[in-house]
Amino acid sequence: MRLILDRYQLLGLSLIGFGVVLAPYSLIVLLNVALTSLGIGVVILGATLLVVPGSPVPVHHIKAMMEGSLVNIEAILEEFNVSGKAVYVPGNDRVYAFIPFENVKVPYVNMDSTHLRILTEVGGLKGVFIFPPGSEALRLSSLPGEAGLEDAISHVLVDFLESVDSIKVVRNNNRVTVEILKPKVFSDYPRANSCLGSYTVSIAGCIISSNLDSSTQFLGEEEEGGRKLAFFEVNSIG
Amino acid sequence: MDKQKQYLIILCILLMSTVVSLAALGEPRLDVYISLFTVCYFAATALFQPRKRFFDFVGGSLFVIFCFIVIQKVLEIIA
Repeated sequence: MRLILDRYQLLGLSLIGFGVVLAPYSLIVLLNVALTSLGIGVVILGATLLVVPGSPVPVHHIKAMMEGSLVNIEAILEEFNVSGKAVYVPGNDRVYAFIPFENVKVPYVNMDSTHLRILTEVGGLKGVFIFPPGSEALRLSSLPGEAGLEDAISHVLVDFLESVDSIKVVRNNNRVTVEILKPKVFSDYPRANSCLGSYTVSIAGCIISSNLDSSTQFLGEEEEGGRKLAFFEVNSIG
Repeated sequence: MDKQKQYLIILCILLMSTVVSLAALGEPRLDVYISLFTVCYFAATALFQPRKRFFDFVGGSLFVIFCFIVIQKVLEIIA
């Protein structure tokens, strides 16, 4: 069995190690009660860090819910034979995804002038509107509003969902490339993967759209070894 | 900031301020420090009610030590 420790547990173990040395040394050698109690206090704090998980919502529950929602999305996409690439659109506290029936470039999508129905038409393009699972993850993660793009994606994917080891973001004008290192969660839904991107990529798309407050089209993704590259295009107004 | 982080920060502040305050007052008894640590721990835990990975062995251990200190004091008074 592999023991995987998160940042809280590592800090907790370090504090316990420090306190376990400090308390007896202060009591026996230094004969100092205040320093002994400081050591005991550090041990209590370290042990509490071991007991308390980093995330207030159980990570496994979130993963299970999101995997479940992908099954429904896969069924909808199969039913309508959708093959386009999703455009993530920021809405009222949530992110929606418009997926055209055909694989074409979608112009800027504004939620205010769009009918939010499953079957809809945006700028003359017919497609479906779905509610991507990453939207809820973004909302539940209590992301600070002023976070930069890379910080925001890292906060949700690395810290909150613990679904990847690390991420890097490169932005070149309207193009955003997200490098995902060692993804730990995999979704086996070919249609959803092709249209929305795989599990982690779809969540990254939601975060980009929400963070930049602009519709963002998923262009594709590449995978090699333990590394995944996802490509997005941020649609500007007009 | 979520509840878990608030709990840890408040607990840290309470424990460290206990050490500083009692040390400043020149308190020489270790059992007084431990008793106050126990009170701080249970107060913070009751206030924030954080989610736990497994059984709260910290609270259990502190409670046992606190009981031991109280029994010792009671026996001292009786004797």
